[in-house]
Amino acid sequence: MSRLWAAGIVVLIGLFLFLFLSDAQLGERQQVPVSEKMVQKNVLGTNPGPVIFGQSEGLEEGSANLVTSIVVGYRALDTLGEIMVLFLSALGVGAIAHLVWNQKLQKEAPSFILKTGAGIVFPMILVFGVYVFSHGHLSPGGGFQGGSILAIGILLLYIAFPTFELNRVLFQRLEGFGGVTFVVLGVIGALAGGAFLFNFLPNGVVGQLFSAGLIPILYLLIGLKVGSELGGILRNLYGGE
Amino acid sequence: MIALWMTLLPWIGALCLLLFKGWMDRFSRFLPGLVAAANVLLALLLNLQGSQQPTLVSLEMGNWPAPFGIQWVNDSLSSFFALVISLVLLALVLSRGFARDKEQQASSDVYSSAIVLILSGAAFGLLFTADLFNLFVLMEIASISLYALVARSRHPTAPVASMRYLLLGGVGSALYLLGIGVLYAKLGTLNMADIALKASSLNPAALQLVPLLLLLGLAVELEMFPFNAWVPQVYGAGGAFVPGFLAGVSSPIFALLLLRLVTVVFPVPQLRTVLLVAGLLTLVIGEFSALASRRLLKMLAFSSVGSMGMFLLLVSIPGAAMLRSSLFWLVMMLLAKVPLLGVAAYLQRQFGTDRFLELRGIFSQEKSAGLVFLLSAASITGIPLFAGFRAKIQALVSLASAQYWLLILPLLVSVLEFVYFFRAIRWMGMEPPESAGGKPVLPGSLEGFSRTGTLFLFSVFALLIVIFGLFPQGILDSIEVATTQLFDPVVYARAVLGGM
Amino acid sequence: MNVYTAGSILIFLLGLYGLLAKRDLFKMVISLSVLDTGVNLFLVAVGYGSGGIAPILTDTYPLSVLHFVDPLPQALVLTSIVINLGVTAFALVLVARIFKKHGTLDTAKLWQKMGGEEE
Repeated sequence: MSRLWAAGIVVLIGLFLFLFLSDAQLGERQQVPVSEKMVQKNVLGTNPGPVIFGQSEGLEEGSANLVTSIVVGYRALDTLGEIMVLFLSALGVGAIAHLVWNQKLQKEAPSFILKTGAGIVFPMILVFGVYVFSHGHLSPGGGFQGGSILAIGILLLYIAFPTFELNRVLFQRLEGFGGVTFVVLGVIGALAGGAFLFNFLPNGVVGQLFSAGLIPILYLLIGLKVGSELGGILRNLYGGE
Repeated sequence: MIALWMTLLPWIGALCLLLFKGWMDRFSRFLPGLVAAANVLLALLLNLQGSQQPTLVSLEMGNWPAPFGIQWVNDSLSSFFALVISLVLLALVLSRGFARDKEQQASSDVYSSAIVLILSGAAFGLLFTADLFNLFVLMEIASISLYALVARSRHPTAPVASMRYLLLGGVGSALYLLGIGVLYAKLGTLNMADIALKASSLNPAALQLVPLLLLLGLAVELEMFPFNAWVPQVYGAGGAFVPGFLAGVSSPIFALLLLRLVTVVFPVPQLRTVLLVAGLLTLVIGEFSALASRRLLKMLAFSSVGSMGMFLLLVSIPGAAMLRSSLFWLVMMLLAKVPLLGVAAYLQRQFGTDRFLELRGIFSQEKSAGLVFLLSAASITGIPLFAGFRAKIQALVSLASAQYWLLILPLLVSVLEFVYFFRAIRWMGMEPPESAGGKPVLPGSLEGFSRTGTLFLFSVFALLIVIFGLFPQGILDSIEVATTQLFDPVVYARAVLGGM
Repeated sequence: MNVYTAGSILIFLLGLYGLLAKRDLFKMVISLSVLDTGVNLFLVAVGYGSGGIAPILTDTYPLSVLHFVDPLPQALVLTSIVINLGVTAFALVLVARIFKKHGTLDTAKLWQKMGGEEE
């Protein structure tokens, strides 16, 4: 539609939104948010005192990164949904990619700097990616972020080495494996504790690497899955089938 | 956990298709069908748990209590619909199996089956979820699956249709998220029952804004005006699965979600006004567009929009009677839509077109398809002794008893429906075909077992239409049970949260 | 309404404008991305409390009773970003498919073509 109409509509919608949002007084909460108890790790009511980094032990939820405690702990089902979304877009891309590219993308011959640099940087990227998803419960990061970093490493390989080709089947199996194991762990949780995605491993001390029960394991699986998924999408974009 | 398995089973199936790729490829043809059949069994089990009184089973994921963790609730309404939807889904998946192109590349077939499985899982999840953000995630899963499935269709307009759907869907979900943002800022919770109990503490501006934003988010999938611009092209792209799914599974499920939103979470007058206006607009514009259509699939697409418009209208009026009417309407309409779209997609597959001009007298060589079409059309237009008649009368009566003037447009539009449906039937069924030998069938079209199987599936629907037309009491009773829980939203919300 | 929520709504509106005003499909996809960014920022801004700290227990901020920013909207945004990534990735491949099939990404020309195929 013409720019004038578009601008007009947007201005109208904008005015409407701003009016209502300022009237709604977003700064004033009418109710205590549910995250209050999540921050205190006291949703089940079993933790009267504050959570202390490096000291509190055996809590209902063991992650020092509070966002992670929500993503993979309190609201883990949404994360399963998220995994399925990424899986879905990888499938979708795979399903129509053969209609778009029927030959491989011609890559420019990479420069010497790129080739050598990639060789040095790629292992670092790998390590960093693994660090990010294995420390998701301790510092900002997690499976999705770590997996994306791994995928960037794969992209670097594609750019720097013209003959590089991702092993399609291996990565698809990794994808499937990550997802299936996630669900299986959830079902084991159901058998062990009565509800899907129940955290049945010990929670340890908040702040240590081996803590937070199931969370590091789940994030590991997610990291592998996301990395292989995005790598697969990259592969499709480069024209492999 | 049965409700959860209806989602997990298809998803595990999809993941396994990739995990065991290569070994499972030939099996991929049958997996969606098997999973769909398993889901029908699960749905039956679900309904066995409570057939006489209302059920209320709560699933707290991870054992986190309700407003903190994500909660799925199986009540009578979702049990009933789980059964209906699982049967429709089974039929659709089977007809997709029959329609499978023999020349299609094996590997992309696997992807497509996996997508269908993921879509199935999300569909059932939407029936049970009691968390607004979980709803969003599942809605996105369903949407993306549909974008991908539409894009794969062989029809020349398919990619653009998919793109249009994607862009509109993207805006809708962004609006929904905005609504969630405002809601969380004020009430600090995402659980539907919790919100229902706390909604009165919202200030007036927020109370108007939030339900509106959430509604607009659902509006795309509800085929509500003006977010339904994607509908004609997406249905028009055809395929054995997508149009039937949209009309028979997707729209009803989102209609159900809307029902919950309007009756339990936000029973506020502002929302109802918007629904009333939108419903009228959707109804009128849809049916007029159907009248003007020159392609069968488009005519049916607009007709589907029209009946969703009617549903919106019915839902906008408070009261137990309206609740029952709208549900009854929903079920009867989807029962007729699926075979209608099935026949249209079938014709497009066999003869490469669904343009009326090219399908003159086609039913003389496709007699069973014609019969199915006739029966389903009779139901939709509301001819006595067919299932849709009772639903239509009940809907019109409810509207009239609420406000007399509400009756005018739906009545007018019903006449329109008669006109365009029977015009189509007359053209395709009673006119002599163009050439004496009948229209030639395309190479690669369905024959033998695939053809009979497809037609059989739709005949089952037509049969059900006749049966429910004569004996509607079973469905009416189930609807009665299904809706009793929603009559007192506060009691219901408290029960869901477990007496908090 | 603070500067963060207002700004994010502005970004949302910019994306909406792009979606409505642009004729090129590729630009529409990018506008959708901008729109989604605006919404994500809005969600994060909703959780913000002035003077708040990032919601991670560390050596420097070891106690959970300190004034943390609300972590829940951040968790929601995490999911939302991933979902948007999925949609955008698919949308871009779809754009490539449309370009290969029709040779143009101009929506005016595409609607014309669709009109021809339709009736």
